[in-house]
Amino acid sequence: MLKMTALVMKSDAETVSRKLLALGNLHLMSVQDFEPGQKILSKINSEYSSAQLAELRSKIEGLLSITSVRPEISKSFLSEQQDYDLSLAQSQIDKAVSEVQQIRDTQLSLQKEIGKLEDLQRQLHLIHETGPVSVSKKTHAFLNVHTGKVPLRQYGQFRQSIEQTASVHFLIEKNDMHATVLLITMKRDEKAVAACMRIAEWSEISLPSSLSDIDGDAENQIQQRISGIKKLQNDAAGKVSETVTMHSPQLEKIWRQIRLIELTEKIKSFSSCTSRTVIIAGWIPKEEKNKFQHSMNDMTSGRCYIEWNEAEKMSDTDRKKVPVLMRTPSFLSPFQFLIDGYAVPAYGSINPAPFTALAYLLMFGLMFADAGHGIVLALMGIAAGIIIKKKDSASYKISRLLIPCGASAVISGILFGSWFGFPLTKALWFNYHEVLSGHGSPASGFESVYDILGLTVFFGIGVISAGLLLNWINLARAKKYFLLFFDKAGIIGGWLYIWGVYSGIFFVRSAYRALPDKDMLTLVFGIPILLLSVKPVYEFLHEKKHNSSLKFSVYTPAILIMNWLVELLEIFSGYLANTLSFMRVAGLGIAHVSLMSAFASIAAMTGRTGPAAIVILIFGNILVIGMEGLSAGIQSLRLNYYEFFTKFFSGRGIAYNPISFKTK
Amino acid sequence: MSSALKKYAFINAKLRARMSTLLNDEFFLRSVRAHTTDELLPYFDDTRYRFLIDLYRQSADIGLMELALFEHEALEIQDIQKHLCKTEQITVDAWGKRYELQVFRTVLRLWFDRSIRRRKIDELLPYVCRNTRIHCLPVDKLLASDSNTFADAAHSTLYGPVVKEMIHEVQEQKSIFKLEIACDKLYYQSLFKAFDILAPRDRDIVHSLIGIEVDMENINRFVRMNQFYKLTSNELIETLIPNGKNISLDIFHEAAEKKEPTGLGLELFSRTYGKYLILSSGSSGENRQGLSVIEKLFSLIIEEEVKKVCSGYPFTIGIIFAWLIRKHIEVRRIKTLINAVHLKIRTERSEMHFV
Repeated sequence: MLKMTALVMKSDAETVSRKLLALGNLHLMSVQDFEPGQKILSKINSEYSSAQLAELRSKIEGLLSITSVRPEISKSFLSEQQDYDLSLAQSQIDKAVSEVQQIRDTQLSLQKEIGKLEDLQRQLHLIHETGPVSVSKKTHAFLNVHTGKVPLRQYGQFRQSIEQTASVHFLIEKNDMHATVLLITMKRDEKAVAACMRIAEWSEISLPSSLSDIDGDAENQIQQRISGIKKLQNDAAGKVSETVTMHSPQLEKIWRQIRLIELTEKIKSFSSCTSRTVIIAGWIPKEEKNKFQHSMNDMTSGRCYIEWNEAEKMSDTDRKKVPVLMRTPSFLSPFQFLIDGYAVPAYGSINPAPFTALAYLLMFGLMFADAGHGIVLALMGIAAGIIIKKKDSASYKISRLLIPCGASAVISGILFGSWFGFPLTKALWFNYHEVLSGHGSPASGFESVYDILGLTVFFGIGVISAGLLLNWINLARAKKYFLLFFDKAGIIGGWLYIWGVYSGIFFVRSAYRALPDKDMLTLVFGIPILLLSVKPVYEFLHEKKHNSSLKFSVYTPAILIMNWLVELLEIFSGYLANTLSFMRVAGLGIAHVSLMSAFASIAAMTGRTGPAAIVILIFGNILVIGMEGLSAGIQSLRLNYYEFFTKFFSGRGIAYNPISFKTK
Repeated sequence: MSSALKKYAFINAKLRARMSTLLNDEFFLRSVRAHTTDELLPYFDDTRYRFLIDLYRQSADIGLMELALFEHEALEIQDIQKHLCKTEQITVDAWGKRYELQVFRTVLRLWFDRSIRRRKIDELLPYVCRNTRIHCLPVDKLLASDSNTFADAAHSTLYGPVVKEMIHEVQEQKSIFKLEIACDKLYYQSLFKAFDILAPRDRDIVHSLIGIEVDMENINRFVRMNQFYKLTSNELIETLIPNGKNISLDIFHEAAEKKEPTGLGLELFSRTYGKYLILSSGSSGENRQGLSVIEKLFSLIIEEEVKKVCSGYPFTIGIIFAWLIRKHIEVRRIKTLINAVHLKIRTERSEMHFV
């Protein structure tokens, strides 16, 4: 990384800001931060209210979300001449908001109509529930029942007007002069109904004795009207979309303008200025230096001075502020996702993605060793990748992880000859099923589960050793030579681990009866143990140098000895626990095969080829793929995080986050 | 021990996973800045409340959104029930009766307004929950009944006997306050009875959680009764719910004898929950006298209790109640959020509800 400090003319600042957004490779840093206390430079005053900008943008996003439009700034937009008029933008947005609100009000009044009709429906049900009651004789809480005559010439208009209220009407009788109507309305509409009746010259009569109850047509009438209103509501919802779509080009343009202002304001907030110049600072990857320099010179016609500083030549304190750019190939991106979930590695350390991918896939393959299941898992990953639309979502990234995991399971399944829980092909390495049943082939070197446990312990030793090696490289690159030797995961720690492993293997091979030569052990463990006592002393002196309040007291030697002993305890118990922790890989692998064997046995009990057996086997496979897949995934992650990363990963880095027009 | 593990291991894992999806303060503080409901809706896009988006875009009705939220919360219990053993099912079911009680109280108030006070209630009728998965109250029958037939309409409900006994008093005094109190007492009585069948550890936990709620309800009631009704101390105590956590009925009795309603709520609170007063340090002296502050403090105390339950021994009924309480708080906050945005309440004022 290079620290870039650019001095440009104030008149060019706006153009430069846009260019920076277009280039998208500058990780901003505040000029005030690296020149604290200076008095020549001052902060750049903002021309806009950030609250107002955010308010306007949020309003537009709210409107555009109705039509699922997510506006973005295009590169070409940056080069267009922009004329900002926030008050005009405000009025345009308000106009769109108010038009939408008007339609929403219509929707609400339609909803109220539906509510009324549903009430009427419920009240009519209530009448039915209470038995065949004569509707006219009953006093209803919310209903009015009328029977009357309407002149035939008025009947059509009466129907039209009465249907504007929550009501049902029945034509009882019709002659040349009059229509006799039974009308049921809600009490709340009394006034409106009275007006309709007056216009229609309604004359109230008593209900004919032949009609004692209302018929089922009421339900249909109400349902039809509710459907009609719902259709209107749908139309209104459609109108909202149409309105937004109509305003969309204008709104999107305003959104882009506002976003552009926000981004340039952000650049300004990191910059400082004199009366005629502006200073912008930030971090840029080394390989982008020339491109950046040329762009800036072109943009300012040479009226620009840029100073470059290499991060590698900075002090330890300054290097901690350098952002970290992980260049991970796209095929490793699912594993980068796992690393991001842990932390950002410190600047200058090795990118752990390839090692994580290798370790993760080996662990997963050993735990989920079945070619058939692997194929299913990979297919699930591919399908999920197609189905999941949001490509930046965690679900999508996990789905991408399923594909290499599936591939790893296929390879290990072929090595162990396992297909959907059955040893269908000849094992290229050893047959897991035979080993578990105690009939492993001596030629393969794996006869019992202990051999598998042993294999995973050796695998663990390999992973931990790789972690130690990475740590040494990281420390050497960071020129932290003291820690390179004296850190828990340093060279002395590694030496102790290697000899610990040797002693352990020796002990096991002697059938748990003997340890290596006593003198040799004293030498290989004693010297490094004594050397490690230097570490607490050095750390005390180092801290004392920077902290004047720290004094040497009578307790200091005891504290230093205690620190030394605790460190030793951590090394011995820590490495032992870390190594044995890998036995879970064997545990899960054994569980996988055992579960499938159990389902195969249950299926065999019902007859090998019967439908019940097939159902059991399908169910068993689904269960094992689901449960074991999840367990293997989680355990692999856990082993990476706790046994592998802890050896070399210093998660104190700051992620490289350049400002660009794509910044969210 | 093994039985507790068997009973609660699965539901514990399930509910803890769900708790991780609860909306946090940041969500509310961001979304409350929306200026219109349309602007607010996209915030619900990736949450369990997506249904609100479709509902509003179809009806534009805030009332329906609130009703949908009520139903969403109430149905949560049924979702949990299927993972529980019989004893815990009975307890959770007894707790869930509060949704029925809430609907009954709404219906009672509407009925009272219409048939006794002669007010128009028609506009509110669509917003009464009629979902038969939540309760089996004959809502429309109750609402349509008059003062003579209300008791008959309520006959089949849990509150039938209480209504029958008190309906004349309601008509005479033109107040449903005492009837509401009787219904509340009936609910809590059946709830605490349901706790009796639980294991001692579970019983203690739910007693503690519900006991705080009872204390809050009692203080509220006690202060209001003191202010608005002239009751003797015995009559006053009669209105309270037994089984509070820290404030026994004796303490209330003692307070009732003093007859000094000013600051009574805070005094009672200080005597029993004094250590939590520090939580009110942000409030002004004037407000501290108010019931609203005490209510806010009680909500904080309940949240503290829930936190304790979640960080304690995992295999207890506590996790279920912790979830139900947290879910209730979340739904309440969403209702506040929707209303704040709809009514265009100033952001700074609305934000106070979410910090």
